[in-house]
Parts: sequence; C-alpha cells; structure tokens
Amino acid sequence: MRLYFQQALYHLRENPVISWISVLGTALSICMIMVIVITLRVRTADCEPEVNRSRSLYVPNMSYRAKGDKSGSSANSRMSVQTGRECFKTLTTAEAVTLVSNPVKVRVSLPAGAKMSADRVQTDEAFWQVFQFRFLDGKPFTAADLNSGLPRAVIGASVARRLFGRTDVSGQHIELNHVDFQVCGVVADVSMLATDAYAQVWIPYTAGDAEANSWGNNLMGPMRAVILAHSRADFPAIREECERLRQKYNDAQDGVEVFYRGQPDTQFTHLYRTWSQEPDVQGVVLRYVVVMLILLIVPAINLSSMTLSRMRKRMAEIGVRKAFGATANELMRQVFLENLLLTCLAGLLGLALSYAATFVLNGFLFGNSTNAYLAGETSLTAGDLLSPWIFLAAFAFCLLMNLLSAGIPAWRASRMNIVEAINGREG
Amino acid sequence: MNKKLFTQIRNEWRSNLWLALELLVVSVVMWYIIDLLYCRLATYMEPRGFDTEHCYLITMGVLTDKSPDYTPYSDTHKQTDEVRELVERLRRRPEVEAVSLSQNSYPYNGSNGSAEVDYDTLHAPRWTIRRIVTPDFVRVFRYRGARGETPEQLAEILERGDFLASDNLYRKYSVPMTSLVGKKEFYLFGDTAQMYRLGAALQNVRYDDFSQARSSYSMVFNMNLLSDDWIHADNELCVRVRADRDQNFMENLKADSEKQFRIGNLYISDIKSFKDIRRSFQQGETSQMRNLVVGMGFLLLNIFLGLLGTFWFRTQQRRGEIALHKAMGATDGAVFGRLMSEGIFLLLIVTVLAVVIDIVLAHFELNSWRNGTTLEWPRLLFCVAATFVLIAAMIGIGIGLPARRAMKVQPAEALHDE
Repeated sequence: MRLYFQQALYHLRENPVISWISVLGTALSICMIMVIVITLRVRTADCEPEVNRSRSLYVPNMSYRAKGDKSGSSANSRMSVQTGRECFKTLTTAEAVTLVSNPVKVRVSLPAGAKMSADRVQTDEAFWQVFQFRFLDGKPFTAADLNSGLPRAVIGASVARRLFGRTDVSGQHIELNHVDFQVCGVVADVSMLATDAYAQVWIPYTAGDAEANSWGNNLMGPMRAVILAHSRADFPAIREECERLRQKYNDAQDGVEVFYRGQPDTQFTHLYRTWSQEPDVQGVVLRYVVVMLILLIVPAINLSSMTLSRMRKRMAEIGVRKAFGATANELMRQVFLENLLLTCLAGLLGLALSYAATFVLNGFLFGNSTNAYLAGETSLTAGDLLSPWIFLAAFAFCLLMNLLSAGIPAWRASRMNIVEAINGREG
Repeated sequence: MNKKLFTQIRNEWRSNLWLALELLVVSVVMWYIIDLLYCRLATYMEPRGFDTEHCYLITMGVLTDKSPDYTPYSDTHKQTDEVRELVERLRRRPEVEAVSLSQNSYPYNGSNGSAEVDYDTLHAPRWTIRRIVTPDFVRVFRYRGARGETPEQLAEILERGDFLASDNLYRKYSVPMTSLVGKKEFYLFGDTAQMYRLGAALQNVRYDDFSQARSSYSMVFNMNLLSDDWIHADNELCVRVRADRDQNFMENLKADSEKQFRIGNLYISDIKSFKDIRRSFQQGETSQMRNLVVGMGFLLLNIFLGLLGTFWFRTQQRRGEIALHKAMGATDGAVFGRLMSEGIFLLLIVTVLAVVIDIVLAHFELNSWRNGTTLEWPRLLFCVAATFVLIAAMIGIGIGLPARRAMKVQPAEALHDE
C-alpha cells in the first residue's frame, strides 16, 4: 500500500504540468458539484430554526374555482385564516399545524422616536413548536395571547439592538405601523435561508390584520400552513385527512370549492413550487442528475486520456510487474489507488474552493425573488457547511470521478500483453 | 500536406478518440447553453412596450381600530376619498410627472387578473392580462399606440371611456387590433349587457423582460368608469418622476410622509423603485443565466486543460520528429500550424456529428423555445457557429502553448541521441 502511494507521488512529481492539469480539472469539477450540493442542502436539510423540515409538510398556495369547473380558470393566492383553521388546524393526525403570513415590511418605532422598517409575519402559538428559535430573552406568545388578540411581539436581536441598544427588552413597548405592542421575547436573528420561519418581528395574527385581510368568499387571504408530522411515515395519513377536511369544507361553501394542486408539499417540492403551478419534481431531479453527470463526465474524459498517456510511458514497468507474477486484479487496484490519491487531493482542494465560493458568492447563490425585498441576511452557519454529510458526499463524488476516469486505463493495464508491453509496442 | 495530416490524426487515433469524445460532449452541451442564452437575450432586447425608468411604486397602509389615531369609516368619511386625496397631494409635488392607481397592472408584477375581450366570433386568449387603471397609468409607464399614439393621447382615449388592447390580441385569427380601432361592438369581462369601443391598439406590452412580445396579451380599462369601491388602499400607486429631478425621491418622500401624507387613516407604508422591483422579480431568470455562463466557462476551461495536457504529451513524444521536420527546412510557423490544424481538423469532424445531434435535440423540442418553436434554422446555424468559434478559441490556446514550446526545439539537441 505505502509503496503505491510513494510511487504515485513520484509520478505526480515527475510530470508536473500534466499533474497540475489533472488536479485542477478534478478540483474544479468537485468544487462545482459541491457548490450545488451545499446550496441544495442548505435549502432542504434540517437546520435552525427549521429543525423539522424533514417531517414537515407545506401548503403555501390556495386555489378556488366554481364548483365542478373544468375550464381551468381559478383564482390563486394564499389562504384566509378561516380556510387555514378549518382545513389544516383541525388535523388530528399531525403533531402541530401553524398558520403563517408572508413577511411584510412594517414601520417599527419607539414612542421616544427611534424608528426603522422590519419584516413582520403574523402567526399563531404553534409556530414556536414547529420551528425552534433560540430565545435570548423572554418567551413566545401563548395560545391565550392569540385567543384574546393581545398585542404581543417577538422581535429579532438586530431589531432589539437597533431600537434599544440591547437585547433584554421583554416587557418594553414598541409601535408597529402606529399600533402599540408589548415585546414578549427576543430571538437570535434568523437567516433568510429559513424561508418559512424568517421574519424580524412576529405577532399573533389576531393582533394584526390577517383575519380582515381576506377575499374570495373569505377563502383566500395572506396565510400559508406548515404541518408538523410525528414522523415521515404519517405523511400519507395526513394527506388523506387533508383531503377529507377539504371536501367537508367545500360542502359548506356556496358555489365555489378550494383545491390544492398536489399540496401539501414536502420540503423539496415546496422549494420548487412557483406561483400556482404544480412543480415538476421529477424534471427538477432529472435536471440535477444531468448537470452533475456533465460536470463529472467532461473532466473524467480528460483525466482518462491523460492517465492513459501516462500509462503508455510506464508500459515497460507494467510489463515487468506482470512478468514477475502480478495478477490483473493487482494491477487494476494499483491504477485505481494511484488515481484515487490524485482525485482525493483534488477533491479536498475542490471542497475548500466550494466553501470559499459559498461564502464569497453568497448573494449570487442565494438571492431570489422571494427574499429580494426582505431586510435580513442569507447567512450560513458553520454547521451548515462542516457536517459529516457534506464530507461524505464530496468523497462519494471523488470515488465516482475516479471510477469514471481510471476505469478504462485500469482495465487496459490489466489486459496488457507482457511481451508487447516490454517491447514498447502498443497493446 | 492534408493527406499527411490525416494520416497523422489516424495514427494517434487512440488519444484523438478521447479528445473527439470530449469535444463532442462539450460541443452539444455548449450549443444547448448558447441556444438558451441566445433566446433569452434576443427576447430581452425586443421592445418592451413600456418604460419603468424614473418610476416608483408606493404602498399604502391603513390604520386598524387597534390604533389610537383610528377614526371609523362612514358615508361621509370614505377610504376612497383619502386615496384620491393622497394621489392629488403626490401630483402636486414639483418633481412628480404623473401618478396613477391600478390593480394587478404594473410591469414585473406576479399578481395578475385575466380579461375576456370578445368581438363577433373572435376571442382573446385566456391569458390576456386585465389592467384596470386610472388614465394616467399609461403616462406613468409610457405606453405607446401601435399607430404611434403618444402616452398623452392614450390617456385621453381612456378618459373618453374607450379601452385599449395590445395589437396581438387576435393573433391566432391573424386579425391585427389596429384594424378594429373605433369598433364599438366589443364585449368585455364576459358581460354581454354592455358594449365598449376600442380606442387604440397598443404596442405589445411585455409581461417581463423574458417574455416575448408576441405572447404577452393585455387590455387596459379605465378604473374611474367602475364604481368607487374599486379605489382603495390595496391599489397600486405608481409615480413617474421627472427625469431631471429624479434624485433622492424615495428619501425625500419618506421624510415628508409623516407630515404631508398622513390622510385620516391612510399612510405611506413603503416606497420601492421599479429598478428594484424589476431586478427582484426576475432574479430567478437572471441567476439561471449566470449559472449557465459559469457552466459554459467550466466546460471551456476543461477543453483548454484537456487539449493542453494531450498536446503537451504529444509534443514531448514527437520531439524527435519535430526536430527532424525542422532540420529538413520547416519554418517555425509550419510546425505551429501543423499542430494547430490537427486540433481544428478534429473539431471540424466532431462538429458535423454534433450538428446532427443538435438537430435531433431541437426536433424533439428539448432545447429552448422562441417564436413558438425550438427548431429555427438561422438560430441553429448561428448557435452552432458560435459554439465552434468558442471551442476553436480554446483549442487555439490549449494547443498554442505546447506548440510554441515545440517551435523552440533545437534540431541539433533533440536529435543528439539519434
């Protein structure tokens, strides 16, 4: 084993130009792939405060049409509080269901004069169960606060600092759009990458205008629903119950019916749903696979060709090894291992590059139409990047790359005819 | 000479096969990307039919009964009047050129309503966007008539009670709307009780920068003709600022908003410039284009590296041969040209194959759509040519470096061993 590595290192040093080209090509490819993997993971894996993404279902959009309408015309937006309450809050198969409005800019001010604008959502007490926030001070508003429409607000750390200069401000009063609210808790700032939990100010929807802000026979409004299941295994049961509740709700409607276009969505589907179109999840996955394949195959062809050229120079050596009894398997392993060393070196470099890229190009990678107006940051935590899962993925891609690029050269090395090889003729 | 070149390529067929394979994969993928970028850019450059420069969107807010300043609405205190008053006050600001109210109408707007526009047996497509606006809207966004009507003339037409429609509304019947201007027998919004007159045909108003004019259908109707209920704080309030006075408009308005623009329960809650609205609305498309350009750079870099590596080897191996060639009187240029033509020749062969694949892909509609099709010959030719040129440039650099080194071979030294 050690001998292989020494030998491999020697060959790398022997032909620096070719080695650099191989390492650079592989590193670039691994870097590009890992940037895709990291961005995808940040959006889909469990991370604070969206720690339950893997067992959550999402209903961001609502549609309604005239009962039995087949022409395809419909009205689409978010749902009203009433729809959310009757179709989702009543679910018995779920652990918790929360209704959340879109973040909207509000004017936050102190009677003393300090003011700023911040992103505010209106929600309910279950929000604090579905999402896990880090409270720096105070606590969330409660079901009792919600039911009596008390003006309570949870605010983010940066809002607290901006207005008060400190974060231990629960009990203090602020004005939201000229209405008095009492701060009940302060949470650590939330990255905009947590699209469903993000805001800077959270209030009970009964203290805001969410209920009044409805249209379309009170079916439509500003809310979306997030359903927390006990486990993923409950998803089918929850979907079934949603459908039952939907039919019951529609029976009570006069001439119109709501429908969900395939929702509730899992996190991945949720990510790729735009407006009111049904997302083509298979197409999205296929596109990812094709892009990654291209990113792997093009450099792999390069590497194959260069490994082959290098092998041709070493034909005599391989011939001698064979003549002294090395089996085809052994030779194949040698080529693979030698190559793997190179790929792993390049892989490490690529991974480092991809980390750098996600930090430097943060806005480039994560900016989208949804968060373009919001005031928060798309910050990443070290935990997002340094998870063992990421390293494993990077190593898996290196192995795959190795298999693609060393497969043919290794096979050819093992098949080489001894006499011809030693004589330097091509096999 | 050419025959010799061909023999040489054939002799090195094994490593040339790898190169060819790589060139083929890259050529097809590059064509796909260039085709997509071409379509996007060509669409981007089409006339938009509107102008958002110096335009701003103002969001209005209304106090709720939870605020101490709230006064309940009644027959004598209506939100409509507060909104109209706000519009009037904005109009009086010296830097403001035009102010309009509208619903689901401003450009780069994800929220839309659809309209039915029927004339005789002709029906507008289902995705005809309904723009319910006050007449100044066409002045704010500088809509233009298909016959050259100015925004001011269009505003007058709306004022008169006529409606406007994009010229392409009856494209599927090959009836331009300009031919129906002045006709009074239009039914709108599926209401057969009343007929309306088409006041003018509009230059097609595009949905956004990445939608083609031909498939952006719209109609414009005067909001003031509808009941007062249509005018409320949820309307879009759009402002055009005079080009020469468009400095710090947002800051100044925000500073004045508490003093001058609190009208009863109504206040200004947010101001956005259309520059920002446009950018954020299209962020998805623009980042996709950026990603594609990065991907293209990656592929080109790989070709460069691959060729550099292969030809580095080749010139090393052929050192003796090149030296002999030079000793027999070949100039530096001849040595360089020979190596270079090897690469270009390879690319030519591969391109023939790639074009066949491209055509098949386009036939099966796997590439980008434009003008209602995926296979347009001029576009295909252009994109294939662009692909060829880009890859050829990479070949030039990738082979150029080792070839320059080969040129410097000293015959005496290289042939010393022999």
